[in-house]
Amino acid sequence: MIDRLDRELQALGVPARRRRRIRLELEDHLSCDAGADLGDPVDLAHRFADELGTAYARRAGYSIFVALVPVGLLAGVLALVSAGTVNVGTILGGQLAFVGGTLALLRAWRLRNATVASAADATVLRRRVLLGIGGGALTLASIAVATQRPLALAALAVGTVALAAAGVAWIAASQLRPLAAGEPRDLSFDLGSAESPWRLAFLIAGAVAFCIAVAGIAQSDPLDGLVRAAADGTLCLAGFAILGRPLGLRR
Amino acid sequence: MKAEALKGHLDAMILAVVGAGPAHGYAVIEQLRRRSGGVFDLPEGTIYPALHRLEADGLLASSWQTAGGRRRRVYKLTRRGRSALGERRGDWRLFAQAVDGVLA
Repeated sequence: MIDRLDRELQALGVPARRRRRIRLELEDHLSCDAGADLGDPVDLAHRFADELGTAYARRAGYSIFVALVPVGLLAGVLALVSAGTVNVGTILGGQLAFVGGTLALLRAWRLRNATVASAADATVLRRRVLLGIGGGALTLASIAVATQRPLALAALAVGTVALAAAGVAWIAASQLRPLAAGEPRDLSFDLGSAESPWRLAFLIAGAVAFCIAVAGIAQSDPLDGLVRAAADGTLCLAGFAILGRPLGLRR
Repeated sequence: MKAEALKGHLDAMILAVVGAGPAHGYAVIEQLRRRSGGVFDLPEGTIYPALHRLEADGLLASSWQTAGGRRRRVYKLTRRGRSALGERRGDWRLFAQAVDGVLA
């Protein structure tokens, strides 16, 4: 039974170290009660993959958000003290990181009490984490290209360590191949709202556009603010349309 | 009692058993059986994925110990686990009182 379980666990991507531990624990169990019924090895292996897959994906979701906090703060401080650090890479990377990190945190939080999340939900969570890591890495690389000031180098060091930690959590989650059935949830689930995902997307895009327009007025350049508001609102909706399915924002 | 009926309560019961003192997998199952008067007679394998998941979530910690020449993985409650157990006990009391109120 234990050999069969080991093969099944291997097929589901459970790492060798974890498999060794499971084997030792079950052997110890059988030494306490040789007649113990440990159940069907295939079902048991699926349970391990589903439960660990859920816990690891959730942990990766929290990790990327925590990793992006210092990256975002340092990038913000750098932008304030040195306008030269703001370039296309930092703006795009920062936005991708913010979206990926926030969405990963939301889904991880929504699944906080789930014993087993569907394989589809775990996949969505891992994709969001990957988007956060990619956005964070792009931001850091763009800062490095823009300036070599000591503060920028410190930001790079801190950010790289933080993103590496999130990357380790993502790798651990990605090794497993959970099989639990179920459709991936959408933005309504993330926000705990009864509204449709598209309606929420329009509301969020509207809120983004409004904030940018107000910022334009505050900077005494309302026309520029309005143009940027329209562009960012449209980009927000375009992102929702293009990335909505892979990121589990809409079905 | 069928395992399905325990769904949603198993984590709290595992935390309660391990909270009473560090235990290995077999001891956790034995404690569940004993403390429930034999009502919770779970398929024995199901406890291990739950133990591993609770550890991955930071509610349990584990280490190898040697007993009678055998290596044995022993679980104990973490601080977060103790806090989660308190929360789940509160939720359960509320739920049980409510169900009792309806059924009585």
